[in-house]
Amino acid sequence: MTKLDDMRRPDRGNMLAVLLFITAGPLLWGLHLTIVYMAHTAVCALAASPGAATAILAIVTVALAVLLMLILLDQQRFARLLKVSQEIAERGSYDRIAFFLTLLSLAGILWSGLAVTILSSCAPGR
Amino acid sequence: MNEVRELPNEAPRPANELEELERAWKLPTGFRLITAVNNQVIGILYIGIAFLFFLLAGVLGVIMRTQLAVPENDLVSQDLFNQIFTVHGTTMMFLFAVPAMEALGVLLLPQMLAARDLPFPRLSAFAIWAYIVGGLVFFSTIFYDLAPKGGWFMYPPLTLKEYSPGDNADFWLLGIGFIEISAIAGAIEIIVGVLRTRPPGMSLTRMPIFAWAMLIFAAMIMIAFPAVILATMLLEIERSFGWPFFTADKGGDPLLWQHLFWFFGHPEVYIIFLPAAGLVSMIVPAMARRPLVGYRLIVVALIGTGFFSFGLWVHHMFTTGIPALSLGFFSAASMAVAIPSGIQVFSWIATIASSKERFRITTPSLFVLGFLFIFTVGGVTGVMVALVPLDFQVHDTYFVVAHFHYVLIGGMVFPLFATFYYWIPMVSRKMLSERLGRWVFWLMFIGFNVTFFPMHITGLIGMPRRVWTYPDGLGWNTLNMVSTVGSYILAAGVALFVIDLFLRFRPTMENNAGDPWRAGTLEWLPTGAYSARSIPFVTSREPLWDNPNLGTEVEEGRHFLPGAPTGERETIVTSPVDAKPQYIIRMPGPGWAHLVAAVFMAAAFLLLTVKLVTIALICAVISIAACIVWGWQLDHGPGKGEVDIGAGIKLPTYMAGPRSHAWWAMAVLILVASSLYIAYVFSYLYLWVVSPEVWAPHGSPDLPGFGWPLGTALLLIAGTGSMVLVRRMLPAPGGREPAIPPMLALAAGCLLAAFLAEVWGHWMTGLRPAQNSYGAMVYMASVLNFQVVFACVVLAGFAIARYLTGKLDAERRVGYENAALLYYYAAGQMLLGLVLVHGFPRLAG
Repeated sequence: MTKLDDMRRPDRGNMLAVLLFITAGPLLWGLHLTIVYMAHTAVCALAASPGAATAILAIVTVALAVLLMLILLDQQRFARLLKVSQEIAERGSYDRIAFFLTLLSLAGILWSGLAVTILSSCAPGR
Repeated sequence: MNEVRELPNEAPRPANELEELERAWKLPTGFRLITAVNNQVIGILYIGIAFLFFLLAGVLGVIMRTQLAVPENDLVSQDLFNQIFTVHGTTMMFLFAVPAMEALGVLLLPQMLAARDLPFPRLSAFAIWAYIVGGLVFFSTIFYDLAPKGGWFMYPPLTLKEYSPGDNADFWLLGIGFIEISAIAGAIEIIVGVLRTRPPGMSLTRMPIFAWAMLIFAAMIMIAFPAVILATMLLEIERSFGWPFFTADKGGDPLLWQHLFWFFGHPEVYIIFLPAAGLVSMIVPAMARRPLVGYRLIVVALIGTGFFSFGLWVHHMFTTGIPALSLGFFSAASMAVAIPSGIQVFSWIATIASSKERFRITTPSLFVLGFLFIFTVGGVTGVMVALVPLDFQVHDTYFVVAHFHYVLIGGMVFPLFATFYYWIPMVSRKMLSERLGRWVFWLMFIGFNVTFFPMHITGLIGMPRRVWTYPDGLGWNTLNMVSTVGSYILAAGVALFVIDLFLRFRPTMENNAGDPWRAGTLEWLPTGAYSARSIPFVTSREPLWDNPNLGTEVEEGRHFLPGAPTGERETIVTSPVDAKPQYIIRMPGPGWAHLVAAVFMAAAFLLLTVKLVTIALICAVISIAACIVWGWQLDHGPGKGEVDIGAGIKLPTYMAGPRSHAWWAMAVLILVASSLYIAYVFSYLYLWVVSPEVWAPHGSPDLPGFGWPLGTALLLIAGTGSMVLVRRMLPAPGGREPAIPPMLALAAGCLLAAFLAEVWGHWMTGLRPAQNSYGAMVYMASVLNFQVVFACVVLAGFAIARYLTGKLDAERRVGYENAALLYYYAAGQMLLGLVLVHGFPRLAG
């Protein structure tokens, strides 16, 4: 089959699936930042409980980091879960883009989460 | 042995095919040229106006530097200085940087994607005219003492009515709010254009990097701009009606503005930088004569930067008293964003280092090298100010002024000048002068560094930002004088560029200067008003390098859609991932409706600023009427059947449902509306955290009884059901179903009734919006609901009219689908609002 013949076949690429596959890492990074920032602010402002704030942040950081590691370890399974077709053009490129974005996000989550081990929760910033 | 290339159209083309194509894409002449919608015409107009704003804001910058050249200077008054720095920053950010990048998207994307045009040409033209009118009026306020004075970020409480009386701040709030709507219209066009009008075979991973950058740019606009639109709405409503969102003694908080503003404002930096980086990623390979090193990593960097940029906004607020650990999160994210930025820088350096021959030193490459140097310095100081203790020291000093000018001028203006020199041969009969270009570069490069490098030191020794003048003897005199001299050198470079532009830039669509760089991407194909004669079949990232005959093949009509088979303007819509042909989009040509809509919408906003409410409303009605006329002309119906585009592929000339570009545009618009609402939900919860004591049931009248939200929810469900039923009842073409108009009217009525019930329920409890921040937030939900309810009512009326005139049926149903999609979203938003406004206080109280 020529490349031109391929144009006559229906597209098997599901845009939403490809988008989620590529951006799963950054989306989880965004989720991490949202949860840790909002939880920390709310717990400190309303309950003034540094222990609870630290615990929430640590749990969220570890849980999301583990999830990202699992995605990195079995990327193909994750792709199948999202129903990303094997037949889309240059599928390997999407795998690599998704891999590095997930890796970058994992670094981001661990880097932000590290703050919990250094700084005390609820202490004023100035 | 060479592979035999299969072409979509092997046979010679009919004699009159090219004439037919030219006729369909002919430009209007004389004064009617202002009704043109071709991307090349409006793209040049757009970039021209954006550049005009750059010059005007630049003049303001030079005036500021002249005022600060010596201590205790009184060249301009303190009040005028405040207006000047506000208009300088606002113009550079809102009227120059973002529009210039959108303009390049409008101008370059269709050429790079070899599409005949972007999918909504009149939407682009509307956005541009709205921007021109709104922008010029906003800028002109500086000439009659009406310009805002609160800085480009307009922090309350300084900008509240008590401290900024008069209309000055309102010009910023309504003018900039309106221009952001124009930017969002452009972003919708870019997203749908990049995802749906690529040439057959150009999968996502074969797209030019600039297309990736513009896709992420537009997605970021969709998420970031609604936050500042909400902020401007809140502040304008507080200024006009006293709803206390930002007034601390009524439960408001000025820091809410900072959160909303910087949630937009920090991504804004990357909104400006990413397209510029995309441009650099196009120029560097052309000058190195080899493909970009690390294409996939650059895509990773663009997407990563896009996401990370939304986690940095609090680094503008390190000194506002936020808990230390929260500062740590944002400090970490601010440092982490250096990784994707670094990936791009190293990719460019690697591409330059691995040039096929010696890297060509031309004017565009000089500007790219200048960008690399300046932007890297700005990036390094960016990491410095990401460190909380250092930020505490340099906050609001000239160090920050130096940092962001290094980032913004280095990261955007230098790539923009590289772009001018690189792409002007695509749209002009003559190239710009290489000799003058080198002078322009060196003057700008030296001038820039002489102006802004000393500011790092000025800031470190304590000079605060935005001061009108300063006393002698603080050690600031020499540094300020050096900066001022530098600004004149920089201005001389820009002036020389303008002279070159006047001497050599001769816009054309047919007889351009050709491809002087021997680049590999599709914008260098031979073009006419219709863009490329035929739409190429793409099999690689650099099609012109891989197939040197591609230009001839395209020109001879050997590729897809070599004519205008429907006799109208059209292009191929392809699938979003693999770019397989799906249907032919028939696009509107020149017209007055979008122009009238833009001018009168701008007038409505600006007249509201000066409180001429009645005339403003008349203008708004005219604008909406023009939009309806415009929309009426868009749905051509399936009458033209299928057309053969080549390679035996026959495509429909009409499409409804989730494949259609109209559906995609509405989906993107709904994402924008949801971003706006999420920003509202954040604001509601934020003010509750700050002032729970004013919340119902303890600090405000008790909530309406359960019957009110329940009744409202039932109305929403009934209306949604009615809308769903209409879809099932749509008759076959030529058939009738008399129940459709009343069902659509019922759906619209339910939505309107639900909106009124929500307002009335709270009013009956005695709660008033000006009472406290809780009341303001409760009624603000209804203000946001009103926007979508109004749009749904208009669209439902539009669908009824389409049905009554025989233009709506089971096949020709785009008019209904747009109304239904927005309706479902509106119902969802209002239901979420009921849960928040009625459920949350009960839960928290």
